[in-house]
Amino acid sequence: MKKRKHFFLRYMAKYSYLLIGGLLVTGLLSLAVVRGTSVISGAIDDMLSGKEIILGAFLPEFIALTLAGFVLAFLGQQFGGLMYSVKVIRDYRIYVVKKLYRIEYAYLKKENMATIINKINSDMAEAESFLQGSFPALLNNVAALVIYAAYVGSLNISLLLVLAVSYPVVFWISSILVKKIGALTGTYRAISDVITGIAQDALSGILVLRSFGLEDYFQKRMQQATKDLVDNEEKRTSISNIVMLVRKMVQWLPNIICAVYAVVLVSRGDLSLGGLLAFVVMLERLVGAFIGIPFIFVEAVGNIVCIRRIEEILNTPDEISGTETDGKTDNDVIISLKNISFGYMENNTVLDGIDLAVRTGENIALVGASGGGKSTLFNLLCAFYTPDSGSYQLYGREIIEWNAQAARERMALVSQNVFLFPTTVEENIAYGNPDATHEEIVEACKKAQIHDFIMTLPQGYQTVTGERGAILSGGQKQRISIARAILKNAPILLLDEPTSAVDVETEELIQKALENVMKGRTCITIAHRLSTIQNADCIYVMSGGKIVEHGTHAALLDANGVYAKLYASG
Amino acid sequence: MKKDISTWKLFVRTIRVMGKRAPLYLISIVMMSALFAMFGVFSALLMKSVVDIAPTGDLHRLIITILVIVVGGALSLVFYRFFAICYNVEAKRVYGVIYQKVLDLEMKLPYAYYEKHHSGEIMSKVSFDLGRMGDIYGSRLRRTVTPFLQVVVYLVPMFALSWQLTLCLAAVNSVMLMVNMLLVEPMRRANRSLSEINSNMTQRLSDLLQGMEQARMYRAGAQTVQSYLKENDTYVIKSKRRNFFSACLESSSSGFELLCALVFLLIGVSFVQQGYTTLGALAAIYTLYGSFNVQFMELGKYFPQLIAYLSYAQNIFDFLEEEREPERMRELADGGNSDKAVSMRNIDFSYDSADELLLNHFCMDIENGECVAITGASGCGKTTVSKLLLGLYPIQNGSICIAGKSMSEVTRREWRQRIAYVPQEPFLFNGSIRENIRMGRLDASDEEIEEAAKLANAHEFILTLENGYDTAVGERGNRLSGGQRQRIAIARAILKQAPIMLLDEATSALDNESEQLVNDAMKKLQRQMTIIMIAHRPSTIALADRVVEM
Repeated sequence: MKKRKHFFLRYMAKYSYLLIGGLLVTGLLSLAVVRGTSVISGAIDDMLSGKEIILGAFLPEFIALTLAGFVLAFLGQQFGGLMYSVKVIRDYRIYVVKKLYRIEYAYLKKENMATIINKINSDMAEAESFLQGSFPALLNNVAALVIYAAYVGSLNISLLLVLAVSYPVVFWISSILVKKIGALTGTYRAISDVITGIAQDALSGILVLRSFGLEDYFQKRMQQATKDLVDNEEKRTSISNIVMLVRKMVQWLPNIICAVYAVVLVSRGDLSLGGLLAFVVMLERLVGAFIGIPFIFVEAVGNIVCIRRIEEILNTPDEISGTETDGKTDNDVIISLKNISFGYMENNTVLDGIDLAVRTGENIALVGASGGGKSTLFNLLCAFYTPDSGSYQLYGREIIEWNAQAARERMALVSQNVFLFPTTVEENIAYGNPDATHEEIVEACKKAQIHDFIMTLPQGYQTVTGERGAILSGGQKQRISIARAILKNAPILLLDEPTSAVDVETEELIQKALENVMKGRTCITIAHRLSTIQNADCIYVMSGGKIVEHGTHAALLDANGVYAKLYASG
Repeated sequence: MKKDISTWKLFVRTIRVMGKRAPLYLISIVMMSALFAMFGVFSALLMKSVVDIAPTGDLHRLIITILVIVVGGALSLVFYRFFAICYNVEAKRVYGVIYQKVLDLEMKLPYAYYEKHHSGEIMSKVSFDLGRMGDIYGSRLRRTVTPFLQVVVYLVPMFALSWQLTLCLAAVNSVMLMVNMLLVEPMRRANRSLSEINSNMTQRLSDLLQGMEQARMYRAGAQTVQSYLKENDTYVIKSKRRNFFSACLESSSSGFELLCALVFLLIGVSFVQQGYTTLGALAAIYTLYGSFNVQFMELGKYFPQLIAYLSYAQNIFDFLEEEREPERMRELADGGNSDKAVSMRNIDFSYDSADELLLNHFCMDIENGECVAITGASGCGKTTVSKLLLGLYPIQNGSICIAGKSMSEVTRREWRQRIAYVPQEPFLFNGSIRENIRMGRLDASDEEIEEAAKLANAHEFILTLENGYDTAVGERGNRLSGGQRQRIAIARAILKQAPIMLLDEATSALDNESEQLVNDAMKKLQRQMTIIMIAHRPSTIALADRVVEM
């Protein structure tokens, strides 16, 4: 198995100078506090021994300490936690989104979209609070601990020894209990994913939900999910509170030991009463820092569970992409598939030994029943998936050697699910070629027979399409997708079900648009209307993941096989 | 101060969401704080007895005292645990309650809202703002109330020991609190804008994920990534702004702590030297003040955070005030013909009242048991007719009747019960095939589901799937092909047993073979119910008894 990489750590290391700077400042702050305490305890000792206190002697120092406190606390917080976190999270977010852009396609199909969004939204917030809260707090507490301990040591070294022995035991017990909670936080996240999933599902399917009156049904599912959440919380809290109860009581143990020991020291005269007071104050701070550590640790563990979920995305393989950006053609075969087999999951063959060759300028059609593997073949051609076995050469080069982006540059895909981004019509079309001028876009739209329609829109090319292209019909969206393809000007055109989602009038428009886009290009078409592909150079008939027949329309009719039957029934 | 009132009102509103459980929740917080403070007092007593007994060197007395204190501390923790569980459970429960309310609204907004708002925007409210609001109940409120109660608890003995000194210390602390209060408003604004940007980022992300196929096929796909990154940069800028304020908060907390020590020293020393107070009292105040200060700093830290979090609650409350789709349509013209299955009379409609009418005096009558195809060029309003039939938009003029009942006579949900709808995009919910079909009628038996699937020509392909009817369909049904999804959607509609079946371009995205299967299914249903098909494929239109050209 491939070793997991820790991307988050990488970014944490990149900006560690901020963290270290922040830590140094916080360390100085602790020193200032210690110094202040010792000034006070010295003053009390002086008073006890009946000396006159001269305020002027330590006042300037104390004022300086106070001012330093304001400045240091600001700087420590600003650099140690906040700036550090902002920078790391910014880079991490960039990395995650870029990763999504090149992650293997199968992952996107497998994972629920709500889960991905939730991962990036709320888990990222957790990562942020890890960097802003629990992580620097952990470091600061450790630093403070060291400084306070040093001070106690300077009061009386054997007192420090007693502290040093009794506290780690407590720490050890706490850490065992902390582990248990980490596991439960995981289930909390899972339940919260379920809840978000329900909300997302209700939103995406609102039309069906509403027309079937499923409001109560969804509400019931939500009630169940929130009930699970409450039940889980009850379980979690009862465990975590036992942890707290035990921990608090155990924590007293070293306090008691130290206190008794300190009393013994005072009665023996090894520690002054002022020293005892200082010790009491310091002990509180020291214990505070010490107790804080497991607490913050629990929080950090919770944060890390979430960061791990993001790391999971980052550790998913990228789609296969080589470095080559050019083919090595010695003949005119552009696409060559040899004995290709493929399945989305193991033991599930969707394509079974496909052989296919496409020459420059050819017009190829794929026909056959749904589930025969036509769309899957397109997925492979676009390099969304790689074949399990066999060879796919594009311009004479194995597809895995190709840079995926470069390979796709050669293809334009007009698919059946056209997604329009919620931006202007113009920008949606310019998607085909970001460098295109407005004139080129208009030209492409005219060829795609969509220009006239766009001009009827309230703001013409500047009209904003809805999230799912709500204001456009299927046929209009399809023509926009054709305009994109024309603008892209790629040598290979992949057409998926181009004449299916439209009315008769629109069909003529689309037919015209298609003729325009097909002109001068090598075409592979998934067809359902056998009438539209009779001029194809070669028709491949697919069934059960195999190519069962191929040839021209006339040849296939003569053969009187599957195609002839399809033709007769259509 | 108007602002404070509104914050207070917002807070009261946030608590009132809990309804009858609010007292239990609030009592739990108070009890938790009290018991925790009690534990703190026992801790302090422990230290006090050490200091008191130290000069005498009486170890025996020391140990007895310690034992008593330990038992007291343990008891307060045991009770604490009881209230802590109550508190946490109530916090999650109210989170669930709000989630249900938000979901309820999310499902009942006027239909136009969904077409105008990006689903990422709504989802961000649901997952981000609601999560933060849940934090108010789960931690933020307690973190504020607990130190507040404890501060009060510590102040009482301090006053008793030396009111002059305590007053001076309290004054310094008040200055600190005021400084923190000044930071509240900018923090709140910064947080609000952060939540807005977060919602934008969610939208960009959801665009990228939904349009991934396009994003990868076109070089411009990188733009989608870029627009996310641009939002990310804005997020950074706003974060820096907010961070400046939080660093100020931190600075004032730590700085004032030292300042207080300074004040203590100055006043304490001069008071003792002038005989206003004893050294013993000074020592006791010093110890108490240490704990007081820790709590006071907590208060200074968490109070502004609570206020900031209330702004997330505000977002949710604002969302909850969005107008819902009214239960009933308002009365317009008088009812239609009662022996028609559907009667649409003189309907005027446009999506935006400022626009030209899309339907102008539109009329259509459909007989019981008839199979009608509605056809016409794209953009002529076919799909609009189906949306109006479903009561998704209010009509501007005219009337729609089903079986003689006009829309205003029944609730929309009753109205929709009479129509089984098959949309153009056959949306399936995440779950199994069986669950999806059952959504047609929730009390249907497994046999009825299979019966419906058989009628929809879906049964056979379902059985070839690995888990048959229990196969998970994936998000939006993406594990099935378009034709398979459509036949499941038809089975779902059949199961509903509504008198009218409405198909909105149900076969348009299908291949020949799937269309054939769907059309066969429709043939089986003819005469059993009234069928309205919005269609343009000749083979589908051929099924109809009558064709309405629009």
